[in-house]
Parts: sequence; structure tokens; C-alpha cells
Amino acid sequence: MEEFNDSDISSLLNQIAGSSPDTLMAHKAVLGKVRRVRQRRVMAVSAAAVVMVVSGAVAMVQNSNNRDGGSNIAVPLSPGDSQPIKVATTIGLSVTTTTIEGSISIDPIVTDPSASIPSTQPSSNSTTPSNIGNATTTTPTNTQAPTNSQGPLVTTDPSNNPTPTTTRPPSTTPPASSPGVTTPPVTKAPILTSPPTTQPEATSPPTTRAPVTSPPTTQPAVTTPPTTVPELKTWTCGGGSVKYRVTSNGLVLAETTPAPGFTISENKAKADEIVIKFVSNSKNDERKSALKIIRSGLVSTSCEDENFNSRSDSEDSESNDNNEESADD
Amino acid sequence: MDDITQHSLSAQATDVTTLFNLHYARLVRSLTVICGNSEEAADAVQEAFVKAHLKWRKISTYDDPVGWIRRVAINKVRDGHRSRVRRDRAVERMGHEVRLMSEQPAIDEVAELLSTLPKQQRAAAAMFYVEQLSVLEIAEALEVSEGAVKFHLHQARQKLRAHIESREEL
Repeated sequence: MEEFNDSDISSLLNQIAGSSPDTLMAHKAVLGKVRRVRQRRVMAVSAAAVVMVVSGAVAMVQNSNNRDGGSNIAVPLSPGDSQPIKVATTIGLSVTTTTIEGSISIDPIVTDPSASIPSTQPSSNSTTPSNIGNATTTTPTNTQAPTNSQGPLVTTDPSNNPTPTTTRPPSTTPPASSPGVTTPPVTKAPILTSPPTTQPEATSPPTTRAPVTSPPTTQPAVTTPPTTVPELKTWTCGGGSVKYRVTSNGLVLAETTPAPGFTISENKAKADEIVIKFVSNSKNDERKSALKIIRSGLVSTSCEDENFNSRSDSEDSESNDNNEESADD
Repeated sequence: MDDITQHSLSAQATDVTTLFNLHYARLVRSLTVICGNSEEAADAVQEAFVKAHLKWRKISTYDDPVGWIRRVAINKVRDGHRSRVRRDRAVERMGHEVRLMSEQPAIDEVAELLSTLPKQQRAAAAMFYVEQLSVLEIAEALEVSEGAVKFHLHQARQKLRAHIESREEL
């Protein structure tokens, strides 16, 4: 250690090192730098916190938007989209759907071109057994039933007197009596009884319907199932009207109601398209109506009436009445 | 609780301030010998003390906080030296001459001699003759062995002594 001691070298190097620097000024400078560094750190942390909060808020907004919809479709497709005002009417409809899924597989209304059935009366539908069947046409078999039953209906329709009031009672117009009588508007009972071999369950519905009709009146007002039933929509043409629903699986034909003097000439009900054609019962009357409901993203409806301008005066009055009814609907 | 925190903060500040008042001048002078520029040495020592302020909770647990500050300052000087060498080389490529002169004209010869010494010899001599550090402390600061420090000191002393003797003969 002492071997390295050299006063000359030490003095020389101390000269090169210079005088002592100003410690006070240097200390202030150091404290200022420390303060700036800490401020930068605080700003960085606060900026990171702000970014996290903003990103969290954006994520929440995006989640809420995804939950609300993304639904550009005009019709409600999800259960949460149903209007709260329609809860009272959808309670009965929901009950009928749940019960008929297990018991009835045929839609009676589609098979019946009766013109006297009220088109839009959900409350009355829930009270009568036949109308309960009207409300449920969700299974594919229901859509096939009308095509099978159109044959007999056409043969029984030659009479040109579609009197809605006389054909109202559905139970008194079985298929056996239809040839002699006027058009049987309601064939719910015949359909249920005519195919006993193919559908043994069809004979049992009376037993199941009785408990089914009572629950709508006794059920509590607030239940979650009603929101699952889509809204029943009506589209009216000169030759008649159609009631349908738009579900997540597609279009469901609920009811087809020809106008007085008209009958159904074509009935196609698919998931993405419903085509109903009405023709006049009269041989001299060439009026036709084609009603189409197409669902491709949005649901679009169209109505084509032919030869409605070349009607006689009496037919005009009838059609006016018909239009009024459809307008009421 | 707040009083305790405030007291610890003031104690910490007092400790760093005490260290600063005790060692800042010595460190700056030593680094001035090492790098040949007092402003650069002052900046390096101040940066080291800033880091010490920010990391004082950890540094205060060290056996020799001043040694940590010294190492940080020396590394800072070395980084500055590297960047300065790169800059000088760039300037030299552009055709300008590089001045390797100290800012003190009176001791330009010794400063020039010091600039020719290897950086380890220069650092060892500066810390031994200016800061009056022991061989062990120099070894810790330079992160080398004591034998290496002695070797560097011996080499530096021989060269400086030769220069002094040549001046005395003149």
C-alpha cells in the first residue's frame, strides 16, 4: 500500500481534478432531477390507469351493445326482444305451445280455408281448444298437414256461399257432412278425428286440452316463458289473410283465412318462404291473390291481386267488406 | 402512521443528502481525472445520486452505498466515453481533427499522458491518489481483484513518475 504512495503524483492528479465543485447547487440539481423523474413516473402510472379504465369502459359498452342486439332485423328473433306490452297476450300463447308440442302435431287452421274465423284474436284462441291448435304450428308436420288436407277441402268447396256465420261452429261440421252443406270453414274437429290410425294422439287432445285451457287464466301474470313466443303477424290481401310468426328457426305459418268467396289454391309453408294463393270460388270470377312472405335476413311480404278491378258491383261490395275486415285486422 | 412515514422519508432524504455532501466533491474530482472533463464527471455523479434517490430503499441496505454510487458514475462516464469516441470517429471521417485536450491548459501534458493510459490504470490512479481509497475499495469499485488493482496502480505510477522525472530533468 505504501509502495504506491507518491506525493508528487498525488499533487499532480489533484491539480488535474481541479477545485471542489459547488455541492449545494449540485444537490439542488439532483433534487430537481429526482422530482422530474418521479413526476414522469406518476404521469406514466396515471396514464396507464386511465388507459385501463377507458379500455374497460369500451369493453363494457361493446358487451352491452352485443347484448342489446346487433339486430338489424325488424322482427324479434331472440326471447329478450319481445315487447313488454304483449306479455298478457303471449302468456296464453306460450301455454298452448308447450302443451301442444306433446299432444298435437297438426295445424288445423292451415287445412281449413274457412273465411269466418276471426283472424286476430289471441284471447279467444286461448279459450277454445281448436284455437289452441291454431296458435301452435311449430313442428314441420304441421306445415305438411295443410297440403294433405287441401284435396278434400277443394272438393267440398264448390258451393259459392261462404257464409261465415253459419259455418262458425266447428264441432257441427265434420267432413262427412261437408258435401251436403256449405263450405266447412273450420275443420279442426275433422282433422283430429279423421286420421286416427296415423295419429293416435290426435284423439287424446280433448283430455289434454281441458287442463291446457285453464292454466292461462290461473297462471300468474309474470312468467318468463311468454317472452319466448314471437309476435303473431298478419298480412292481408284481397283474397284473404295469413297469420305467421317469425321464430329463430324461420317462418311459421299460424293461420290462413280466405276472404269471403275465396278459397286457397296453393299453400306452401317453408322456413324461409310462405306462399299462399287464393282464388275465387265463383267460376265466372277470375280474381286471384298471391301472398308471399319471404325471410332472408329481413322479413318481406308481398301481395299480388289479379283481376280485382273487373269485378261486378255485387262483388265490389263484398270485397269492400272484405277490405274492411282486413283493415280491422 | 403518517408521522412515521414522514419521518422515514425525511430520514432517507437526510441520509442521501449526507452522502451527497460527504462524497460528491471527491467523486467528481476523481471522475474528472478519469474522464478528463469536470462537467461530464459532475453530470455522471449527479445521475448516480438521482438513481440512489429513486432506489434508496434498496441501496440503503447495501454495505457500501457510496461504492454503488461510484460504480454507477464510473459506468456512466464509460458510456459517455464510448459515445464520445463514436462521435469523434464520425467527425474524423468527415475530415475534421479531433482534439484530445484537457480543459485546463496548465496541465495539458499530464492530462495528455493520462489520456494515453488504459482506462483501468487511469481509474485506479484517480481513486488512489485523489479519492484516497484503499486497494480493496478500488477493487470493489472497478469490480476487479486487489492484485489487478495493484498492477494497474504500479503501471500508472511508473508512467507518471517517468513523466515527472523527465520534466524535472528539463
